Amino acid sequence: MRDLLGDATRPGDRFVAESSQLGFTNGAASTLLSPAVVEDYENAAGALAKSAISNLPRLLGCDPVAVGEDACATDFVGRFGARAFRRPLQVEEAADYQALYINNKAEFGFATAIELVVRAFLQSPVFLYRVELGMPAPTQTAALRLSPYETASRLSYLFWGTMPDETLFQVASQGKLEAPADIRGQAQRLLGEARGVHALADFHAQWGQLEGVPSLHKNDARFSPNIGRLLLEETNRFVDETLRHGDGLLATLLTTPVTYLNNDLAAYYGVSGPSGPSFERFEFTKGRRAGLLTHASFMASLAHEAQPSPVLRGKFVLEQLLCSPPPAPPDNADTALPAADPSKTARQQLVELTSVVPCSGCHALLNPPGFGFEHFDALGRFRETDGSLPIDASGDLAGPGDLSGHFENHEELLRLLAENETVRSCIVSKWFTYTHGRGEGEGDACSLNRMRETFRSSGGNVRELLLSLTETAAFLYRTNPKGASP
Amino acid sequence: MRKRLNRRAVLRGAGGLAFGLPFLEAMRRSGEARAAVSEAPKRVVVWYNGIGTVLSKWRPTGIGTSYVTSEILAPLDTPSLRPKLAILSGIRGAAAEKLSGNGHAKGMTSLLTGRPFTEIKSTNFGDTGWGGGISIDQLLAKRLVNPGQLASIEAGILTRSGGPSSYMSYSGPGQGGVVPAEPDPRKVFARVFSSVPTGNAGSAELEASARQRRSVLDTVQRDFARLSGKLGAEDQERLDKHLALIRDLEARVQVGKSCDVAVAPAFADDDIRANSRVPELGRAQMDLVAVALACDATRVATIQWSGGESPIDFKAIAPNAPWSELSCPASVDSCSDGDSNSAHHVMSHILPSTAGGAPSDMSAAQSTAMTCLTAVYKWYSEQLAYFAQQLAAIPDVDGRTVLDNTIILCVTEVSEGPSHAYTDMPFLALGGSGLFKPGYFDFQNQRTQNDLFVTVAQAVGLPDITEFGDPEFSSGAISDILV
Repeated sequence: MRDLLGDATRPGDRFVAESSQLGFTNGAASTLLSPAVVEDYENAAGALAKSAISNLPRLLGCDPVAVGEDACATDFVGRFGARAFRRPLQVEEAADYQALYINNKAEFGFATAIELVVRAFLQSPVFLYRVELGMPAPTQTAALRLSPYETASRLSYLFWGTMPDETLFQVASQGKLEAPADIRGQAQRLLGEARGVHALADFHAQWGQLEGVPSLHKNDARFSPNIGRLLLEETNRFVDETLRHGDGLLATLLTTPVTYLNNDLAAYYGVSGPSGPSFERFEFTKGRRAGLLTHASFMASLAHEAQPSPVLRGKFVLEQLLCSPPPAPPDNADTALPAADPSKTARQQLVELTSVVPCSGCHALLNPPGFGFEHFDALGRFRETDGSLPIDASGDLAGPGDLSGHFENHEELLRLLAENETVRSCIVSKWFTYTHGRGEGEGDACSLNRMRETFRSSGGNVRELLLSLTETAAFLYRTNPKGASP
Repeated sequence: MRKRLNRRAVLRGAGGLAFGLPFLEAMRRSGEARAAVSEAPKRVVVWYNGIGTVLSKWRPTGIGTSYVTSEILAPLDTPSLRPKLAILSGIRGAAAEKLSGNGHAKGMTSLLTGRPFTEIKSTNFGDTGWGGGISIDQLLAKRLVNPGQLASIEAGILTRSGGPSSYMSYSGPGQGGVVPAEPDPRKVFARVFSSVPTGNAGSAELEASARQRRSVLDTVQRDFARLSGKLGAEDQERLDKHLALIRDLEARVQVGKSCDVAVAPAFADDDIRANSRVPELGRAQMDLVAVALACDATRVATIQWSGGESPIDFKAIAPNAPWSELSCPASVDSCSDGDSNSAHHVMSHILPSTAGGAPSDMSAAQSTAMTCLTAVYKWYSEQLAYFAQQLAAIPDVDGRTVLDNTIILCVTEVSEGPSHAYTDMPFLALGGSGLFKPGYFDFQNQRTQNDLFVTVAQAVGLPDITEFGDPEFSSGAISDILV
């Protein structure tokens, strides 16, 4: 909307919330359709169209006095429509929108007729959905190659989260968006521009389940919605600096002591760092922070109101880094902790509670990675003690998959995870799901293998992974609804 | 029939939240003030608060109309509400029992649909799935809606987007059928009061705006038609559904809105998910639903307090509430969900089953949990009483009150937290004077929620609805409570 109409009101923020699908919210099935949603669309379209015609010359791009109202309207329908639909209008489409204009102009005047045209474009399924029909092919073909315009949209929505720019439209119209090298070239360009931060920031916010950080409920005045928003900002900047501008490595993302803070966050973390409100690079002393997962945004959300939660942290590692979500506890399991006992750490109490059947099976996998983060309290601040007792953040990994080894603290734990093949493979799967808004299908083995190979050979470079996925069949083709199953 | 509200006077006061319901009478146009119409619209509100109850503190003693109320239901035992209350014990959530799977997901998906879930996925969290068909609120919405009205309003309090245990309303089977509750009172407000063109019915201005709208939607529909047949089955289904909803919008073009209200409820974005704002959010949603029913903007509404794994932490709410003085367990570790403050859900797991009466050998933690949960459910009864009283304060077109013409059906997805049982579901019907019989009924788990929904449908004038949901569990209306 911002790019189509120059509108900064973000009407989508007020739409009915989406449901989640496979942990990401951009799957086709996750945007629920209900009367309220369609009403939201209609209301937003009405408001945007009304505000768009308040600056008619800017909207139109032609002068109705100089070229005549009807000629200008025809011109406008073609240009605006191409941007709204992310491709040139088909003849019948142009005729329909033209008719909408003509039918209303006599009674309601030129400006209102244009307003109605905009209103209709903004409610069209071709605008609201990313329609991918693919290019004509024999009906039995299992997959259809996307048209250059459809490829342009895939690229721009992945990297920017918005419609293609003029350059993408142009290369698409010139047939320069078909060869893999051309596509990769554009991907590189999109990632390199400032708004290339979108894919990386959005992916990690969804993957990290960080959306709710500003509204976390903490019984501590040091945490506030504003701090929550700053923590999200820290994580966004860190991801951008590390993956887009830095070495791009997953290992760095998961282990570096470097982050980006402003004065409020320096105070929150209890370090002497930046003194002003703008964010600056900051390096923690050894033993304190190690990468993304030790950001307070992650640690505070993987915690309770007043207590950190090794269980939630372990569960996050299993689900999001190892793609091995643990089963839910049996319905009859008592999942409440006993009252605090000053003679024991919370870790000791949890071990006692979960080392018996039926809890021990899953908790043998869940607890160790969770215990690695014991140095971070419910606010995500560093702590040396639990009550008056020293922290034990050591553990021994015993799976899943090839994950094993002893660690003394979060730095060593994260190093083990960063170097682990299961983790790398899982991150590839997560990016696949995020990009395509669907889970992996049988026909995706080739694409996934290619992504995994690139990720491995680049030493776990997320930037390379992202570029290489634009060269896979999953990115370039769609399933043919009339074709034989692959 | 439709009442005209003065747009200025309705909402005012503290933070824009004090809805002026008691003033409604004064705002009716003088001409229709006393002209009682014989027939008022019949309405249904489905009220949900999660995770069952504490059965031993919920069940009244005695039976019929001479029962003695329980601790949890005491707030509803007022001289004005008692004659309008049916306490419906021993209803069975039979559809939920049919399949195995995640306790709250099974309960939520089958609660209002009366069918076991569909699109079943074997996950590591136990089988989950989505609702197996249309839910009773949506069916009633379709049947009771008049042209120009919203079919229904779904208002939530801390409802979340997510998996199947977050939703209870369905327009049809599957994930695509989910009708989510809206947790933001500002959006509910916008839906009720600003989604229809303004102007006097029949005025030239309204006519023009209706024609414009129709011509826009016609153009949009032709785009839909062109895509038809070119997409995969799932996408096509979604587009068809979208198109059907656009056609519903067109139907609303005809009628002008005579119920617009000027001031929206004032909340900041962060408030909408804030545990500490639950009481105010709840009140705003209840007030909005009351106003919407009062001015006949809709005839069916749902009020959904969170979901099957309610994260509401009651200890953090309202410093004067009883539980703030109790040592209720608040920070407990739960491995079953990602909530940091899931006091309600987590507390409910500490409680032993009280279906056969409270056990005599409860631990200290269990006793505390029982005390705290009893306070929680009693608080919900107070909210329900507040909502009912709001409706009772509004005169209806037939000279009775809006409450007299509204059935509030109170449901939950399991009978108690720890057992995740679907027997002895603690349901209530409130309001609807002369539409059903008041009193305490115990159906001994011989009747299902399907039967109860058929009963409600018939009570609001839809005698052709003789079965609902999965036919296996639907044996017709419960005649004991039908008038």
